[in-house]
Amino acid sequence: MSNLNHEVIGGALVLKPSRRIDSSSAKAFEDDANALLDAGPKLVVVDAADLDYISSAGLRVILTTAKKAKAGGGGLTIACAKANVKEVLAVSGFDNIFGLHDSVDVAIAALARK
Amino acid sequence: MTLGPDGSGGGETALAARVAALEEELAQARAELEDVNLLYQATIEHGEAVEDQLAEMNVALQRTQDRLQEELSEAANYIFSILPEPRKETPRTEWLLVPSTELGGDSFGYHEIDDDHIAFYLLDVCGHGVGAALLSVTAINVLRSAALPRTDFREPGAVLSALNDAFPMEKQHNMYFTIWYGVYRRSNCELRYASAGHPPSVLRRMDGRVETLSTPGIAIGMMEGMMYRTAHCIIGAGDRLHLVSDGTFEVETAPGEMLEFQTFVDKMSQSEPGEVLSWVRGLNGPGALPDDFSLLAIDF
Repeated sequence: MSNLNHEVIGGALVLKPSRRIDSSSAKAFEDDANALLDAGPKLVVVDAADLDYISSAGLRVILTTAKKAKAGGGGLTIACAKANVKEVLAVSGFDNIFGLHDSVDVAIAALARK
Repeated sequence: MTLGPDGSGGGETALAARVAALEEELAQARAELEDVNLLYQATIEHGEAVEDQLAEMNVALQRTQDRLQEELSEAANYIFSILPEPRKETPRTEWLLVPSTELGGDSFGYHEIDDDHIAFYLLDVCGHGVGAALLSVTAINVLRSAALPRTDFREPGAVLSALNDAFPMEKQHNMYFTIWYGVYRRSNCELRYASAGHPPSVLRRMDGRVETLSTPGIAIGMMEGMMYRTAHCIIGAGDRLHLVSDGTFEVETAPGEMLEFQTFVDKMSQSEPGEVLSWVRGLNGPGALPDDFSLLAIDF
């Protein structure tokens, strides 16, 4: 059973991690995301609206999830990141690679176009 | 002999038989006691043997642990041995590297590429421990010995692109690293630089203004075929450049509250490396820092 908040919207898997993805929560995120990806759509939106902090361990699991989505013929993008999370995504270059969107709907549309 | 009805004569016989039976029982009990004694003795001896064995194993375990500890220290010594001495001539350098555990993934270096160009770089392999340290040392040695095919080491973007081709995470036990790489050209005072998923370097100008230097790009090895861009700026005499890793400022100032990068930049641009370390340690509270602390300061 997945503890990761998620729903399927418009053919995309929307993952909504809460509070923090750091070294203590990254593994759980990865396992849950993997299981959801195996069972559901391969287009993934990480809805970061509730995310206060992401560490380098968190970035790693976003990357592994993105790679898995891509291997399944889909992709991953990010939506609704708060300012400090945006800063980490910018430093890591994730904003350019995966895209940052202001809403989940825009993110889903962007994934569908790819 | 038969027993008479009055029991005479026969009584003695019965008693003798009873005594014989008791004697036999006693002998048997003695034999059993003897067996139990032997068993007890054997158990004690076995117990002593087990104790001896345990003691021996403890000694062996301690020896193994000492040896591992020694080898880890040896590895840590090696990593420190490849870090360059502080430069006494301009550009002068001063640095601090404090691994979070015995072996960390941070390392850095600088060297003269030719008479006009000098390279400065700091990298951070994801994770800690022996694996991260091995990749860290390998990457530093590749940079130091200019061991990448058809790469102009004066061109930071090209160096990072070549590193990315050389170290895909799938072939490096799923490890990758962030890096900041800059080249200073003496003849025109130009600093060319590129970064890959790494915190910006902080340039404190002679007059106190502060600039952050970075280029967009993800960590080396994360994805194939990435091209990294070079940016540049002009350096003035008296400017100071700081290269750091994310562990240098990623500490909690209160539960769930991370130190803001801008706050760190403000502090660092007004402090010596040692003061920055004490300040970060103070914010973190007792115990080891959660990640490697590395700071390389360069004075032009």
